Amino acid sequence: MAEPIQARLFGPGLPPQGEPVHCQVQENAIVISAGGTDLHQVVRLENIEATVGGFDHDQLQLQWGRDAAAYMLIPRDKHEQKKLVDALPAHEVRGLKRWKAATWSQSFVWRSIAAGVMVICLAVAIGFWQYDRLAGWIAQQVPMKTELAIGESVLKSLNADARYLSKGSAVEAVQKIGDRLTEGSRYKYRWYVAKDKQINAFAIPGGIVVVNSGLLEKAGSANELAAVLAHEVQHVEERHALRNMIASAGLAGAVLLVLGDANTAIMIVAHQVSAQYFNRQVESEADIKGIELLHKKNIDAKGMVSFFRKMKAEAAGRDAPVWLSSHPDTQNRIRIAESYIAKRPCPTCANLEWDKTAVMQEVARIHRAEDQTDK
Amino acid sequence: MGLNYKINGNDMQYAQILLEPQQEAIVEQGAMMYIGQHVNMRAILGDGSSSRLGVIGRFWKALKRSFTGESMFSSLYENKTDSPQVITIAAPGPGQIVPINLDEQSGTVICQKGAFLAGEKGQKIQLAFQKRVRVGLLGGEGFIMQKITGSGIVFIHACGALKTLTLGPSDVLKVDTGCLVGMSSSVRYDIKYTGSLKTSLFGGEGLFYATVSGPGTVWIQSMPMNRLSKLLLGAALTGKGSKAGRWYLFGVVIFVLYTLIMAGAPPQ
Repeated sequence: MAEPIQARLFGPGLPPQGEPVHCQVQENAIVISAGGTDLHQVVRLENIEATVGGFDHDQLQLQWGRDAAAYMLIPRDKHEQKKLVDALPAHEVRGLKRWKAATWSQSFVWRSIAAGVMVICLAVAIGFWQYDRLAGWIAQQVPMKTELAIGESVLKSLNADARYLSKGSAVEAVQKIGDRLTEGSRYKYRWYVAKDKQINAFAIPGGIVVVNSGLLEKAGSANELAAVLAHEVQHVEERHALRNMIASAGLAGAVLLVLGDANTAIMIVAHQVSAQYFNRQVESEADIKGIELLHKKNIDAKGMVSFFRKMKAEAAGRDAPVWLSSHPDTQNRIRIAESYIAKRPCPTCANLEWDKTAVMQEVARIHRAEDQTDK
Repeated sequence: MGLNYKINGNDMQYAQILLEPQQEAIVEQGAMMYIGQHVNMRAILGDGSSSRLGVIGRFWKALKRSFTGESMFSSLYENKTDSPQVITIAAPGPGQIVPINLDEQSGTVICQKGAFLAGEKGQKIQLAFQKRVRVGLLGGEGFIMQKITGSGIVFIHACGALKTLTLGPSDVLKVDTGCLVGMSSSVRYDIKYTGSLKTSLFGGEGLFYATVSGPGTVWIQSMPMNRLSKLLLGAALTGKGSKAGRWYLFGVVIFVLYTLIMAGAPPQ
């Protein structure tokens, strides 16, 4: 015999707040009785209808009778209600299945709202935490065509026709080394020499690499030039510029959402695109992958170390070379590159040859021309 | 031992409570009209109930309470003398003060935001969150209501005249949204569409009405605060009663005529 369930009975002749009763579920009826009074009712299950009630719509109300003789039984609390629901055979009481579905769907709605909010919060948190990786992943999804179009427009905005050389012995030397490095790449590389005395080189999305004439002047050997080119090629291959653009676009989007300031958002993107600035992590990645590339193409990678040393000496003297200013701590880079090369020696790697005199003559000619236009 | 009280006044009421020795009453802040010389008054956090989380738990409770239209603190009036003392509590606005005996409502009533005025020590004012989205959005009471639990007398206040109705198990009442002040915990509160576009547009009762179904007790107000304030503000600004309804109808007629004419015109 199951223990009695505490409930309140409402009906004609009973107090408006209900009569406290206890009930028992039997084979096909509910027996209701109250201690101390002569109240005793046996209600057949087939006459009962279950409805949803209460402020929270989670109360079980059992009703029977009609109009003036309507009765209703409500369990005293949640605990008693659970006992009653478990005791009642669901297929014999009208509406009990519907009651279960209704209470379940209500809690489901709120659970799914809570779950949705949690998923959004989690996504935002992960987005912050793994922002770089996320931007990198999106960058990988950008089709090649789009990348080429971006590169083309950046090149145009840099006034390429007037400032960059696309032929001559300097370009030929760069192209010869560059083509050897990028053989078998999915990108079709284009090489430019900029008429600029500053020691700098940079990559534009879509496989465009620009080397300043100033850098060519400083590069003592073909190996050093190859090291710089390998570094820049890795920026292209790893789509670093795109990754940066996407990261700053995301940042700008967040600024736009939070502050509603479109100007700031546009400025962030514009600055990012024009500055071609990469963070330390990305630069180190390009260094390491650059050395790997040099080794793969059987080129001695020590040129990278020697070029870094040259840059460091330059930085100690007058104003720092541009190629360094946006790059991580030079001493650190030298150390990492040296240890990497020491760990993975490349005995078959050889030195590159280039037509140094021709390149230097060309560079000197460019610089003379630049000086004249400056005057 | 319940409170000994008397409610005075017609439209702007106040309750006069005779505090027996050692009896305490919690009153909404700022509701006191006058109290006897020997009545002690203290500000307490929330409703003064303790929490197993200590001060933080009590603060959290008070914060939740403050979302139900009450202030975070309430005033506790205690009679430390050996003779009965008088405290009087004024309603914060026009309307009626209704005493509810919680013992007759199986210990719980759910009221609209800010309905609580005063009660015996030990009663709790909690936040009752409307879990059904459509009722919360369209029911006229919002998502947050007050759940008053405990025993003894609690005074609630609402605008206009208050009607107490006891519903039997099969009774259903249609109530204008916003007119519901309180209900006992067994009452089912829902909303219903008025049924026809014509009625909902021109009936003046809105698109939905609330339904309350028994068993239990419901309290209904004749004049919700927002309706009263709208009426008074409208009259204060124009110097007349609201005439907006007529112009609105005029606009509807013109719109209908316009669409009929446009529909009849040959396509360009």
